[in-house]
Amino acid sequence: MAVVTYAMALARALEEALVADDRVALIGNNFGGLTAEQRHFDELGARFPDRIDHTPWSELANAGMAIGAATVGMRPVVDLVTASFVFQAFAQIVNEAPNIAYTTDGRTRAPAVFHMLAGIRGAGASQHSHRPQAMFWNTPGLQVAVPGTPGDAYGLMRHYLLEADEPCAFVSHPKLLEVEQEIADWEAERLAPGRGRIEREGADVTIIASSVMVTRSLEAAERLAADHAIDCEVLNLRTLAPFDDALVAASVTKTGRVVVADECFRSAGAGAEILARVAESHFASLRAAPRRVVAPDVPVPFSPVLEDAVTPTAERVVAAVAEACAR
Amino acid sequence: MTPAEADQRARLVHWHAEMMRLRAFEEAVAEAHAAGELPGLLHLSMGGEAVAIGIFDCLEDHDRVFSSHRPHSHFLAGGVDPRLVMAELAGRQSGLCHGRAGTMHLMSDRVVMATGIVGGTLPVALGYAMTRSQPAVVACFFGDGAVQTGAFHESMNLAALWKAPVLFVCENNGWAEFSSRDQHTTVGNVVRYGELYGIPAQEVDGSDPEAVRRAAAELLEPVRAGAGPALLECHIARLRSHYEGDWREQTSEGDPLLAVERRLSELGVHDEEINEVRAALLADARALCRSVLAGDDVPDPDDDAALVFASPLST
Repeated sequence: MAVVTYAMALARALEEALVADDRVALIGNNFGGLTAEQRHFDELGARFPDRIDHTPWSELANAGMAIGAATVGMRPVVDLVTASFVFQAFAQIVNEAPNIAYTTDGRTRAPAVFHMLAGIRGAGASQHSHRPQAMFWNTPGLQVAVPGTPGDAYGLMRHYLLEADEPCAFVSHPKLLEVEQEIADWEAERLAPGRGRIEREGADVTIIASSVMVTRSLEAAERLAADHAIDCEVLNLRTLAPFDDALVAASVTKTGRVVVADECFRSAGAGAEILARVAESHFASLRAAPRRVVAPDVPVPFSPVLEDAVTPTAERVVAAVAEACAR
Repeated sequence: MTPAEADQRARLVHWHAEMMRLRAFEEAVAEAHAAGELPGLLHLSMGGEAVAIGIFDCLEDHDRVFSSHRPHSHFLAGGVDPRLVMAELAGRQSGLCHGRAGTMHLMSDRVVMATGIVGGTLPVALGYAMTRSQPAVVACFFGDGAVQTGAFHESMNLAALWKAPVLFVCENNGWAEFSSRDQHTTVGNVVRYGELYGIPAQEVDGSDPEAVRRAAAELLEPVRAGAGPALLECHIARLRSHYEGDWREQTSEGDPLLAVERRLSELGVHDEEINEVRAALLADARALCRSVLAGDDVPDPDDDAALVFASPLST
């Protein structure tokens, strides 16, 4: 049984895709960012030098190039490195790629993958800490992957490179790169987009999480069980678009209490949309007001003390769940 | 020694001390960062000291400057109090931006702003320049990596079209993060864009403060007179790698301090004098860093909401 990091699992998906399909190409190869985990992608680069373009800082053209190549059958993944750089490429990712299949009635498709490292990362400050997944979710035609585990990263990247028909914003969290998971059965990780997972079963309250908040919610659940005798069910959404409404429905109907854990900003963040769906569809099942653990509407500050104050942590999930379960 | 040589010697002695002041600041920062005492991703400006000194020597108080993601030398050469910059790098309340900005997002009055985004300040500098009255100008520093962004070309085109009083200062260190210049463009030197956009342009050895000053002064004359923008390409060495903690593609060749010190020796300045200057400035910078780190002025998160909008209603 293999213990792998998120980065290793992502590199494995890229490797399998490069081997399986000649049309797979990498535009940029800094998936591990400035962490030691980048070595896995450097090794991949050394194995497949002809399948990787090393690009200048031209995010707009890099993203657009992937879209154009995808429309004629290539299966490119663009590595945009830090998610805050994706704004340079928004015109292509948000305003070109998602409309192509819709406007051609599916005759032309643009299954390009846009990978980025998004998250509050430790002194990244206002310009290197964006979590733009809610902006992508606000873009019909674009799928949004928000893997929470190494297995998710593997399964979803493999899917988007080898099987998907849709363009995808693939949002990895820099603090997940070194997170480990024991994976016995890689095939079991090849779950389709729009299918979430129950990471921990529980009876009292549903925590709906994505990306790095899956890890933090599981940590919170253990503390809540030990210190408060609260039994949490933790859901890992894996993708925002498509959204696993059925998974949420089953869990919320069972527990009647909901806490959404999301690292986006509060206003119009991913958490806001999830809470709206819960309120719309499951109002009658709710036994307490649903809550969200999110970042306040303040640019992410540089100072570690200030950054800690805006980060949705396991402690803050514990506090929100305890409130939701208070009689 | 002729009077001209004596002048040059006095000027070089002064510039050397100024360049060393910038270098010493970053040496102290690098040491504290390596020891885990300063947070964040650091891009040092080591290698660009002669450019900063040469450019600011031609600027007047009413001129304004925009910086890049290697901003420390620009802010220090622009007269910003080193204690404010050091405290900002430490994320302290007494920092230039009260610990909110950190290394890549410094902002002040005369040196208006840095950016963590390649090419991010070029259009902003253009807009700022359009509001200036003669003879005030705006100088905007950027790296050669920024030349491959759309922001560079859109800004150059508009500045030329509308005759904006901007001096575009490219610090060409030959690298964009981890790729060398020949890996990311077929255009040889950045100076060539001057001809394309029809604006005066020069390229200089960016390790020579005198050469930078002379070229910048020549280029600034028509800019101040309202003739439109100019472009100065300064070839410099990236003495550190892309960021602190990484050691790929760093070099000690082309160190502007060593170049100036060689020239000082030729002009008869003794090595002991040079070493004394170096040692004293390094001691000052280290003492400043210690003093800032010893402070307990941690910013208060409760103040944050009030900073987001001029009139906060609710968050």
